[in-house]
Amino acid sequence: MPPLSRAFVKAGFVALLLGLLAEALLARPEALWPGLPAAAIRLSALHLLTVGWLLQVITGVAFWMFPRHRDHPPRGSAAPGWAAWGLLNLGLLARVGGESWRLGAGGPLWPLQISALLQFAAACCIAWLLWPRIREMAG
Amino acid sequence: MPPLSVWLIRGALCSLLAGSALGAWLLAGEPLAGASHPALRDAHFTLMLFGWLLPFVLGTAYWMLPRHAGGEPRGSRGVTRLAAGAYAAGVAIRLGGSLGTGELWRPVGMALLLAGTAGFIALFWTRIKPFGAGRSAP
Repeated sequence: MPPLSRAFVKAGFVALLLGLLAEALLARPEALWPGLPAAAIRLSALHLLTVGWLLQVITGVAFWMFPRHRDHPPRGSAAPGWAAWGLLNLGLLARVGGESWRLGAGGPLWPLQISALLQFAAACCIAWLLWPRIREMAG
Repeated sequence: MPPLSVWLIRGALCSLLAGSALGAWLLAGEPLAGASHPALRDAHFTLMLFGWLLPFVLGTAYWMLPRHAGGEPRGSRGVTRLAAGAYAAGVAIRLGGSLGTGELWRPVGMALLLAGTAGFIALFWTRIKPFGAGRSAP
C-alpha cells in the first residue's frame, strides 16, 4: 500500500473515531454539559463520517487499487493526493471548530468560508488524482 | 476496468465536484443555510449520496467482484444496461425534483434509483463467492 493511501486510510479512521465521539456526545444525558451546541455537533458528526471517513478511505483505496499506468510512475503523481489530504483535513478541522464556535458562542463566519474553500479544493485535487487512473483495461 | 465501471466512476467524480461545490456554497453563504435553502440542501444530499458514493461503489464492485467462469463473465448485459439506465435516470429525475421541476417527480426518481440498485445487486449476488469458484481444475 503506497504512503498516500496509508495516510488517507489512517486519517479516515481518525475521522471515524471523532465522528462516533461526536455522536456519543449527542446521546449524553441532558444534564451533562447542557451548553454544548447540539446542531453544531450533529453537523460536524455527519461530515466527519461522510467526508472525513468515507471520502478519505475511498480515495486512499482507489489510489492503491485502480488500474496502474504502464509507464513510470505506475500510480501517477501523488502530489495532488497530498494536496487533497492536507486541504481536506484542514477543511474538516476548520468546519468542526468553526461550526461549534459560531453556533455555540456566536463566532464569525470566516472559518466556515475557509473550510468550504478548502474542502472544495480538496475534491478538485481528488478528481485530478484519480481521473487518469479510471480507464479501460484488458480483463 | 470495464467501460460501465469507467462511466460510473467518472460520473461519480463529476457528481463529487458538483456536490462539493454546492456544499461549499451552502456553507460559505450562510452557516445554517439548510433552513433557508431546503431545495439546495436536498440537491447536495442527492449529488453526494446517489451521485457520488453509490455509483463509485457500484462501479468498483462491477469491476472487482469475482467473475463467472462461463457465459457472460460479469452477468447479463441486458440486465446491466437496464440497471445502469434506470439508475442514471433516477439520479437525474430526483435531482430535477429537488431543484423544483415538481415534487411529483421525486418519487419517480427514487423508484428508478431503487430499481437500478436492485438490478446491480441481482447482478452482484452470484458474483459474491470465493475467487476461482466454479472453474474446473486444470
